[in-house]
Amino acid sequence: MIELRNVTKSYPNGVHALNRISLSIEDGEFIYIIGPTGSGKSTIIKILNGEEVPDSGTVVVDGINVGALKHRKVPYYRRNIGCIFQDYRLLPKLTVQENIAFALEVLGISKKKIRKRVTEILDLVDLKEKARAYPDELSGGQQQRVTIGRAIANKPKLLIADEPTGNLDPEKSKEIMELLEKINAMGTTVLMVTHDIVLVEKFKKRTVTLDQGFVVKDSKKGGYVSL
Amino acid sequence: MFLFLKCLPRLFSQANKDLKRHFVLTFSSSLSIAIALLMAMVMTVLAVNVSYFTENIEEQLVIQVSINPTFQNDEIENLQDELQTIKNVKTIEYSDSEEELDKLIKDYGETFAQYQGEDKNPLYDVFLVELKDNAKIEETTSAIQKLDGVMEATYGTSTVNTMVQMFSGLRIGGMIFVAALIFLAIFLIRNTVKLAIQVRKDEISIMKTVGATNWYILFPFVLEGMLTGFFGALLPSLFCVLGYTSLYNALNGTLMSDMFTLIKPYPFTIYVVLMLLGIGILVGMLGSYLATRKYLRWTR
Ligand SMILES: Nc1ncnc2c1ncn2[C@@H]1O[C@H](COP(=O)(O)OP(=O)(O)OP(=O)(O)O)[C@@H](O)[C@H]1O
Ligand SMILES: [Mg+2]
Repeated sequence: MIELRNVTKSYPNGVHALNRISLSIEDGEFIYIIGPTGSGKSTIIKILNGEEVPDSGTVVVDGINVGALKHRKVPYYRRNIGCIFQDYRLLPKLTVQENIAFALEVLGISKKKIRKRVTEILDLVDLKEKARAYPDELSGGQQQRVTIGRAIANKPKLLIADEPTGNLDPEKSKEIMELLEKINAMGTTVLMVTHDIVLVEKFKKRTVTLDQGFVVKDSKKGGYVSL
Repeated sequence: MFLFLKCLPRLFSQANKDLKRHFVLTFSSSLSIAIALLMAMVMTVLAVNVSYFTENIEEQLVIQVSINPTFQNDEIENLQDELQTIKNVKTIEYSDSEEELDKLIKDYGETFAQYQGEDKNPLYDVFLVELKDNAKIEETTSAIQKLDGVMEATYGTSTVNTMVQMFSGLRIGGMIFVAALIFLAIFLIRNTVKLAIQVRKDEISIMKTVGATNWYILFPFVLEGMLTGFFGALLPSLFCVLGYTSLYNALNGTLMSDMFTLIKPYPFTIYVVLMLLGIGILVGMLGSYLATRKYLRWTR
């Protein structure tokens, strides 16, 4: 699914965010990326969704060489991956269902199909009662569930999440994790960046540890302590 | 392409929503464009009228060749033949001193009537010479001057000449001014659209993460720019039709003398209005293109 080979990325200000990262992720895997702040976790996400281009090395996602993608093609590539962020990035003036529908409208899908898919998703993320609520009427956990719903609306093969539980208490984090596991069980590959050691310990998955742009550990068994 | 058509209603409603959202912004930039276009309109109307004057004047340009009064008929005929051989001459018309005086009285009033009568008439018999190329009027005049039996060869005096030159200067100055105003309008729209993009930054970044294409994201802005330009052109258009028409009527179609005949408001104003609307829309398109170009090129 994802194949990083000797990926190096430095920013114009001279920071070496990633140093010769090599990583291989299978179809249907659930993988954590952890590491101290500034270790390059978000940079990996940006390279995966095509926002940043690696300086050297290759990034292949689902058979597509992301770094070599033409500007024009990036949006089409991006339709195959869902993105979730710590700040939920919902449109405040749209209701929950409109926010989810928005992601599909952009792709020019017919109104009827959109309505059907939105219902399915609201069911999946368990927000049917809140369909007509506005984001500021929801708790953080609920907002994050809307974001997840929006990210998977187009049935992407890969879901990448940058600290999705960063702003949530343990109870809500657990909710989100369960939802992500459910999505993973349906066949979507999930890559999650996190700081939350408790979660990593509790829901054990393959865990990649980054430090100063290097992969310092790749534990198939998972768990933080094994470092 | 099909996707484009399907998305069109959504994109239009988006542009419409945007216009409403930053109504004040759009309104003020429309107004600035309106003012710029208003000035451009006035300059254009002026310039077109001036060139119309010039055409009129040039049409009226004739060389008056005064004939030596001692010349007899056959000598006068000889002179006419000689004039005919000068290259630039188009037509030659003979007019005797009495006809000339009648014209003078008709143009400038009865005060000249006192010169009527066999011996009182101070005017000469003349040939009125029209030219093929008015630009060479000076050379031709001096060529005629040298002919035997020509007392004097003049054309409408030097005032006409300087006027024609002044008018052409005015016309060129007007064009430059109008071009500058159009650039200003493009600049204004570019800034408005840039601001609008700034305002919707969050929404745009969300659209990008869910895979919206650049044209889908930017089309509403281009539309918005075009609409802003279009609205900006409406006010000057109205001014043009109403203002010019009433000016024309108030002045009875002429400025000071018959030499300055104004262009008839219809269909002239219609052309100007079409031009204004066209410029407004084009300026809007160009301005928003400039605002979005950088965005398109650098953000993935
Ligand atoms: N746009 C940018 N321009 C310049 N430097 C950047 C940029 N983005 C990140 N960096 C730098 O690159 C390094 C890695 O950043 P990155 O955001 O990937 O870290 P991170 O692991 O996500 O950190 P955190 O846990 O705090 O989110 C940091 O030193 C950061 O300062
Ligand atoms: Mg980060």
